[in-house]
Amino acid sequence: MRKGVEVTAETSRAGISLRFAAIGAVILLLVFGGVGAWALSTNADLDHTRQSLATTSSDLAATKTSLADTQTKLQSTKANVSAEQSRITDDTSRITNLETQIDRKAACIAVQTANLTELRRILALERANFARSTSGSAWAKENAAAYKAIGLAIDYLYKAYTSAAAGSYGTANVWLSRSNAQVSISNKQVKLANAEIKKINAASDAINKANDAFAETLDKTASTCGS
Amino acid sequence: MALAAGARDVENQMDESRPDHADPAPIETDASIETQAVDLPPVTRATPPAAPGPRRLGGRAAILLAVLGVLAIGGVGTLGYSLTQDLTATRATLASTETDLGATKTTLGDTSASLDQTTATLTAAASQRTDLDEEVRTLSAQVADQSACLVLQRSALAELSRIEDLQTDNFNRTTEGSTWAKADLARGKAVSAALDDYYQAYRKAFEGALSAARTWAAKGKDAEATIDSQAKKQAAEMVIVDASAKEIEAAINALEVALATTETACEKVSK
Repeated sequence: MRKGVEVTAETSRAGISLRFAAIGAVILLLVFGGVGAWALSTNADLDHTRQSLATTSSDLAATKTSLADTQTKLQSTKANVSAEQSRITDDTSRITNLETQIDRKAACIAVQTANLTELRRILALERANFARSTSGSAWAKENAAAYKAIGLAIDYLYKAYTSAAAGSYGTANVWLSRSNAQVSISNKQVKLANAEIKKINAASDAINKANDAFAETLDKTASTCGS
Repeated sequence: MALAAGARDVENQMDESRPDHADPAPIETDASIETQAVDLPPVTRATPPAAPGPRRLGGRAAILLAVLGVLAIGGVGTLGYSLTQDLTATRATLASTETDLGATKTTLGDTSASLDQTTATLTAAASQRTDLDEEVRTLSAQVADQSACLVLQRSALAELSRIEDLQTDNFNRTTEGSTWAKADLARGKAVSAALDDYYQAYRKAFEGALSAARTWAAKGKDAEATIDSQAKKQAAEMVIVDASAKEIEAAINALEVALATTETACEKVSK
């Protein structure tokens, strides 16, 4: 039965048609291109993001450095402020202390100025009074005159005695009279001298009162001046 | 290469059909019919004619191409995915960094503002402290001037007090109870005695009692001697008084110079 029958190949083609394959390839290419474009875009985006990150990181680092510097400066400035405020407190305290000292010293100076004035016044009184009793003063002259007169009175009385002893009674009486005259002169000078002494004593009383008052002032001075 | 691969696939397909000829199915025969030997013509391989219609691609090649395509797409996709992941992570890092940067900038801004404020406070404090330092210097100088004035005043007061004591002492050299005053008293008594004695001598001589008169006269001489000696004592005291007065005078002159210095020193602190 099979004799003389020619066997022939199958005429229908196997596989995928090229058109279909081409469409598939195009689709694959499109998908590949799409995925590649997406990958490229993502890569570009990543590069850009990395650059941004690098810039931001750099900016952050710089900002942190700046922050650290600023914080250091702030701490330093705060420390300086604290130091200044401490010095202000010290200065304020010193000023208060100095003002107190100034007030106290001013009070002491005022009291001592018054003391100097008063002591100089008392010394002037003493010197004036002293001058009333020195040589050349009225009292000294009157005292000297009194002694001179009394000296003459004694001398004349001695001559009265020697004249009487010699029997010259008339001459003796003359010397006696002269002696009495000198005694009178001496008494007058003594009165004048005593008047001066009264002045001296009165001045001495005034000086003593002034000295007593000044002694009380010195107590107040010690209280005011603290010494 | 794809086309060559496709040709091989055709041959393989041809070979795969061979087992059908090599192992034919058993043939049913009619026993009534004599069996004859048949010479089989040689089998020749059929060459398929060109297929009519569109050309076709082998399945394997197509699959291979598809697999390669899918692999390529997968590779790129994986790469893209990896990049996306990286991008996401990087973006997260960037966002975090930006947040950190923002926070740091905010902190920096706050810190800078605080620094500006603190610097302003420091400037004000430094200015205030400078003013206070100046005030302290001024007040210290004033205190120093006052102290100098007080020292001079105390010194002047002490010297004035010393001079006043000298003056009082010198004055008292001629007052009641002093050596001079005692000598003056003795001198006064001697004067009275001399006057009395010589008067008695005068009277006795007048009465002719010369012996008694000489006795009184001798007493008068003694009184005169006393007068002289007491006068000398007084003179000696006056020498001391005069010397002390000169010393006091010199001290007062020196004190006047010191007082002028004191007044000048104290004048500026009293203003």
